[in-house]
Amino acid sequence: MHSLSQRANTIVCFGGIVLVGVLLLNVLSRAFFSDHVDVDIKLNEIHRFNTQRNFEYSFISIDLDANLEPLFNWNTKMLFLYVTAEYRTKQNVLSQVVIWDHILTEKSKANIHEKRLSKYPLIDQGLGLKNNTIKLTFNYNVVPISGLLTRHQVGSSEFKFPTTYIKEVY
Amino acid sequence: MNDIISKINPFNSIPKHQIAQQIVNFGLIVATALMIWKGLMIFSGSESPIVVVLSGSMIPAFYRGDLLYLNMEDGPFRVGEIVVFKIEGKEIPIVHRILQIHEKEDGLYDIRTKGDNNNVDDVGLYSPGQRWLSRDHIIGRAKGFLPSVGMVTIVMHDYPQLKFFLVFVLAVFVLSTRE
Repeated sequence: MHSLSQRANTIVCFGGIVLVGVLLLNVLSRAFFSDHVDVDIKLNEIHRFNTQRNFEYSFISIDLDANLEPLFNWNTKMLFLYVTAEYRTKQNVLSQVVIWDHILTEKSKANIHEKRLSKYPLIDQGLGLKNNTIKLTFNYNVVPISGLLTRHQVGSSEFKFPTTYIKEVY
Repeated sequence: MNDIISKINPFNSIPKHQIAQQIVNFGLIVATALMIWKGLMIFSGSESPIVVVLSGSMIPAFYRGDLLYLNMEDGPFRVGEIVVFKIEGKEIPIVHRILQIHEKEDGLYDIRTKGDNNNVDDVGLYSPGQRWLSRDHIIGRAKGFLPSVGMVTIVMHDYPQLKFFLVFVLAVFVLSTRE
């Protein structure tokens, strides 16, 4: 009455439905985990601020205090952390440049107290940095084991570029 | 000899009208799959709502064979977002993260991307002379993730014979099954 293929079909079908159900519960379960984190971010130093051809660039470093342990739950594969510099110029209504990023895969390393972090230069498209106010923000992106990819922003601070260029200090 | 063939032939003992019905059933399955895909396209607003990751440039976030769900909502682009873009003259779309954005007054964007696992940004991957991506290059924004499911398509792409074999077996199976 029930052939082998029918049985196999039923098992595969039912297995698939169960997997989708578990996935759904897994995605919904994120609502029950706290995602509140305290982040403190501020400028450490402007190491270099100069112009080249027709654009301005700068190397800056930041201090970061963040405890991201609450973000690690059973559906967290990794966190992508990044710090952006946000500003507006005459040329652009909004510029966002990532100046530091980091891949965090272990909960044991999620308590961050770092000074003088820097990775990428802050390069403007034109001459828009001088005497401009820059907003530094800390962001993270949750990459789940399976489910939704989300982005979050916590913590920010502002600083202003000087009116004169700064050559590297040795 | 004829006896053996008639025993092996799975269609032998099935009445003709039932074979016809199975063919219709088969068509129905194909049509349903197509409907779901096209429906998903409308729902997500992206020309390819589901993509398979083909390279290791986003490790450890995405590995080869992982599946991404994309949409193309109207909201503004922001750094840190993972997007899928296509470069003119290159067939394979690329999944990378936005590193820089310059938004113009008229709502246009200059976007620079980078793969998490790459050391440098993507200027070298763009067309010769191209410095920035615009909205037109981007075909989707990654919103959902399923690991390894897309490995099936990668294996089938690497061994095309397998694809034909599988379709053949499936077709025989569907057509010869009795109610």
